[in-house]
Amino acid sequence: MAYGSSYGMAGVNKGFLEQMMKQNQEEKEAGAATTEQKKEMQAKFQAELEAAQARARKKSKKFGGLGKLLDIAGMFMGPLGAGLTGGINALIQGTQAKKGAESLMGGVNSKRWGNTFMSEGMDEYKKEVDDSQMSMGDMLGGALMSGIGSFAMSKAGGAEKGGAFKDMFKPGEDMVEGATNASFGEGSKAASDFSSKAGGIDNSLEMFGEKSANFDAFGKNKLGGMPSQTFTAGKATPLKNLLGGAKDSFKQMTGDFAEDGLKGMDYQEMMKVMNMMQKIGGQ
Amino acid sequence: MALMDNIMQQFQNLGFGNMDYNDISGLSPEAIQAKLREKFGLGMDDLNPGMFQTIDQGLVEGMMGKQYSGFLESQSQDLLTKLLKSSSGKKANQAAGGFAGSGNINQMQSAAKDVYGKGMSGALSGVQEKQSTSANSILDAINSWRDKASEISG
Repeated sequence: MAYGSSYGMAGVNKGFLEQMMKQNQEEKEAGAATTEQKKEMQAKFQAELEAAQARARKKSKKFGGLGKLLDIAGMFMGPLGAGLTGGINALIQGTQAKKGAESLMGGVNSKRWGNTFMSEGMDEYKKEVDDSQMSMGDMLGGALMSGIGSFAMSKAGGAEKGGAFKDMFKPGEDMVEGATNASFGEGSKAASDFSSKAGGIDNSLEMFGEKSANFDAFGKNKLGGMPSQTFTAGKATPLKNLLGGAKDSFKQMTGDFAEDGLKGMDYQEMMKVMNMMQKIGGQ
Repeated sequence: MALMDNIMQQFQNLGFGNMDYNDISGLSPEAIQAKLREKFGLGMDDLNPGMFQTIDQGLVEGMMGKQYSGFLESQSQDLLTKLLKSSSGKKANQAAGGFAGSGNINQMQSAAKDVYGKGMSGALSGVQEKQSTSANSILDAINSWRDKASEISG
């Protein structure tokens, strides 16, 4: 180059350097715009999550009132009634969990964020929401187990009082024959009412008394038949009446959702669960 | 030029289709944004046109060598003038001793050609270096578009 036109070369170099500097500057500006864009997107994402959580909290408070109301209602329904309303409450809480989960995802553009650098955050959030949500099947199972568990525990604790309890039991057509001397514990009016309406239950309902420490109360020896025979489908039985009443109450309080959920329950299956829970409670 | 072919291939990969070199500097930030949004499956608001630097016409010309043609021409002319001067005139005549084809004049002309050759090859290599740098800058710009879109898409 020393042999060429130094002026010409200097001109070329100058133009070239200017070009490069301009390009570098534009690249820096584009980088800054990218950082800014990412910050804006993060802020929007966070705002959406916060708004969704705020909505979920608001809804949660709304449903909280119903739960308390049901607790109060359960006080007037006797031991099993209280147990079942406990279950209803658990179910409602489960429903709340589902609705809460829906609320937590509502308004969050998961498709958009899942496609961006926030996908990890979105996945985390979804996971958190999923963790807080039980499946509907689990909710129902959990709700009934909770109610039945409450019943078993109340029985184990000797709580047999309750006016509504007797009303839930109506004379059973196929209630254990030859059963006498139902023992609901000392001075239990509900028990004697139950006993008389059931046609004189004796040992058959020892399950409600201190003597009964196991589920044999519904067993062959004491009731004259296995639960599957005792609580025949299509015939009125005390337990069926009780469950029917509970279902009605349940439906009134929770709407069709709970009704639909209970439809799938087989009485015999429920009896098995109850017996199991009772056994646990009795021990 | 392999580098230039590579650039056109990059444009095609990003979905710009078949482009001419002259189209490169005509791409607006919005056009780049739209293509990359499509390519990366991003939403309307996910990419900002400001994130994409355009490619200056000067860079394209630099890559094509157009910017340097004038320089090379003037450089060549300058060297030729020097060559002519050195191969003729008083000094050349003295070297030739008044006779064409003498050893001295041949040596003198060879030296002049060397001056021209070295000068021009120096100028050309300088130009080629700048062409290559311009092409690399264009390639860097295209890669930075992809990197930015990729950064957003995660």
